Amino acid sequence: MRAVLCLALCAATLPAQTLEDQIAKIAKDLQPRLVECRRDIHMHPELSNQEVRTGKLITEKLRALGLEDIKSNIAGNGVTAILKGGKPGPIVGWRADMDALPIDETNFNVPYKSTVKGVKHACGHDAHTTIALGIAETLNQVKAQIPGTIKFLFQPAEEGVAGVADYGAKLMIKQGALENPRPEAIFAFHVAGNVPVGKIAYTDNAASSASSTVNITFKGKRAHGAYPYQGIDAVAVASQCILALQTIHSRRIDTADPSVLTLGTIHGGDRRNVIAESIAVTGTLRTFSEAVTDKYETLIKQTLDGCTSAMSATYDFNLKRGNIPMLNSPALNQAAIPVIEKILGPKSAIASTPGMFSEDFSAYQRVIPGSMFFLGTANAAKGITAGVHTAEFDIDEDALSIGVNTGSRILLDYLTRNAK
Amino acid sequence: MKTFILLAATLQAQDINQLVDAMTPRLIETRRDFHIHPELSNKEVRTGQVIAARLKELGFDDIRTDVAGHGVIGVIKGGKPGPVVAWRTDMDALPIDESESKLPYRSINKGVKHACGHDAHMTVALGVAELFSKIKKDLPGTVKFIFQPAEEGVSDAEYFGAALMIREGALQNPRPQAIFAFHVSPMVDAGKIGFARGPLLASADSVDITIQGKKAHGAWPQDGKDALVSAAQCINMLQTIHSRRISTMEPSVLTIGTVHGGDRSNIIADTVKMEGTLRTFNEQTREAYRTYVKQTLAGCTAINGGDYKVEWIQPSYPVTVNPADVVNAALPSIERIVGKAGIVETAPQMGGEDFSLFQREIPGAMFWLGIRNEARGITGGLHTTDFDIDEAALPVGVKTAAAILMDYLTSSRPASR
Repeated sequence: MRAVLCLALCAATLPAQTLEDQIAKIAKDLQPRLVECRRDIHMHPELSNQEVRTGKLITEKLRALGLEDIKSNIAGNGVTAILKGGKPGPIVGWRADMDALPIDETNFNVPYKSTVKGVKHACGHDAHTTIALGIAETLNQVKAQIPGTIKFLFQPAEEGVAGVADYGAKLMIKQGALENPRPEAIFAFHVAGNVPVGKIAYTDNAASSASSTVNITFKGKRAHGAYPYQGIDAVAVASQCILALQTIHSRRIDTADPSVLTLGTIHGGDRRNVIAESIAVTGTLRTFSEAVTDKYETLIKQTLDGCTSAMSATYDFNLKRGNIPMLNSPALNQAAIPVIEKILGPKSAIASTPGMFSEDFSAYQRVIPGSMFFLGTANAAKGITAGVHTAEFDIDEDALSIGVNTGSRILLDYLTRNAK
Repeated sequence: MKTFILLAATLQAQDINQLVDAMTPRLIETRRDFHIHPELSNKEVRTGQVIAARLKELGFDDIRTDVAGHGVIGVIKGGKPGPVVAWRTDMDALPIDESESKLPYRSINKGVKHACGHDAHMTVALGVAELFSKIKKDLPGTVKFIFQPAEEGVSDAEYFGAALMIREGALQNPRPQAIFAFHVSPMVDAGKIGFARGPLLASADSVDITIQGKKAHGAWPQDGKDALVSAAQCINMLQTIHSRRISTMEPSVLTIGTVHGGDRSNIIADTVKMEGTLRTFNEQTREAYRTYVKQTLAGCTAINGGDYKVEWIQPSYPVTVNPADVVNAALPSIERIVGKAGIVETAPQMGGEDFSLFQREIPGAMFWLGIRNEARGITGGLHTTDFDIDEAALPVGVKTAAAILMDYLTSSRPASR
């Protein structure tokens, strides 16, 4: 009886609409709630592997939608869920990441400013999570017409955590996120602060860099600060080595091989009037090939050997290889381009060059084919131009509804094309 | 008249020797009591109480407590007319742990130790106070004992220690004409006294430096301003102040002791903070460093369009300079106690002392009280866990201090008397 009534109502409110039109309308109508959801997550950012509130929020929303097989606390605070379409078809995955960054937003004046001092969604994961929830809600409303199954992966700790072997995508996979059921392919968005809202960029093959973590400890000898000659000043040694390391990029690596060695933190010394015995430096190395990473490893060692021995100091150096380059599937990209351009207009899909960033979405791509698209969130007219990982980073929220509509359609297109 | 004074001094010297020798067991007891109960800078509650009680017991004429925190000032007026002279001692201990020590008189306050000899300084001062109370009738003038807290410095106050004592009137009512003090020296043998004309200890300044850049993703350094690389450049360039801009005849040290900055390995650091200390032996060099540090940081951070902040903060002590005439006048008094062989001339040391602040107000000199005893393994440096003193130095200290003060009072009396 109820089913009959619903069908009658649906028929009355949505006369002769295509599935695509329905999705577009739902996504459009969702916009105020998408903004609300994104701002809520933005105001309550949580660092990598601390996404307790975010995980709970996702689980509750998925539960309210009635998705199946909701698994919480995957790889920490991650969540997976299944949306089964009414028609037979393959299984496809959609991934969103959840964690925020240790960047302070106190001085950034937006009404939805982070309420957590020193923590900010400066990499758009608030938008990623919001869009994935929006896609789930949108497709859920039309699920009877969907030929196949969508698996949603909400992944924690994309930004990485120190001192843990497995986290984020790797741990999700280890804990079976790509099994039972196993998706055939996987998609994701990443916001792009350098792509205007209304456009979506894509890259074939290597799209992001390999990322390795660099840990260096400079070891000197403690002495009273007034008698430096009685000790070995780890502060002075570290400073010289940090500068010497800059010349690897400028003097020793083929300039045709893009690479970045960044030392992000430095900590050491006991007090102002004591010669520091130990200085710890951490950093990140980005390359586009293992060969260049290997070369860096050798050259960093050689540099540290020379510049520490110059002052009779010693060092510990460790290069931990992390994310491998993303390898976006050209086939999946080619199929998605017409879908994107049908929604956002001609030339709205922009071919892009590999980016010097790291994404652990690459881990899923080593198991199944996948593509990550770069969702334009910049709007120069509104002054939204800041890059990710900065205190000023923001998104044009119009991108939320665009993301939900486009993401839903890319998934639907994949399922439709691959339905047997 | 002059002959009479010298005769009186000689007689007193013999009396003094006997009196001090009899006091020795109590000196050791006092020093160990202080050593067992060390208190950090501006927390010298018990220490101040012990001192005030002792001065009361000795019948001092004027006792002021809680000066500059827990400091104590005691004045003893001699039976004979004469000038006013001051003896200064410090009271505080250091955040150094002694709990692993096997000494029977090791500190019972975990993590706190008298590792700079202030326990010995107070003991000697109380010894002199006791001695003078016994010969008060013959004392030709007034002696003001200044027990000063927080010599090691605190970071949470603009004024403390000597600076605060002076602000609270320690050198007024009565105003001493000169001030003397001891500092123990593990480089001088027990039984000997060290001296330096001119600079004795360095100026000691604390500096906080902040290098300000701009945050960016670690893979896009071009979008940020890397404060970490900039800090490394600044630290390197700061080294050239000593090697290229200060005369090599002017000993000086600029040490950056701590460096902290950055949020995580894959974010371009926007802030790096450093803490340092500057030591010099003259005020011109000290000023030159302040100018050059600023100039170096300004130039160095301009390279990548970053910014910097340099703050010279407390503790900050001027150079401890002993005027040659004050030292020369005291040397015969010292020699009378320790003999010619017992006097050692020392090179300036790089430590800092806020006794220098008293010296800016009135003439004053600080001497090294030898406490080293290699045969007994007492060689540990100041501010180390192993620091200890040969207690045989205590009566030597009392006798020498008494001689310096008595002779000062005697020789500085107006000729008409």
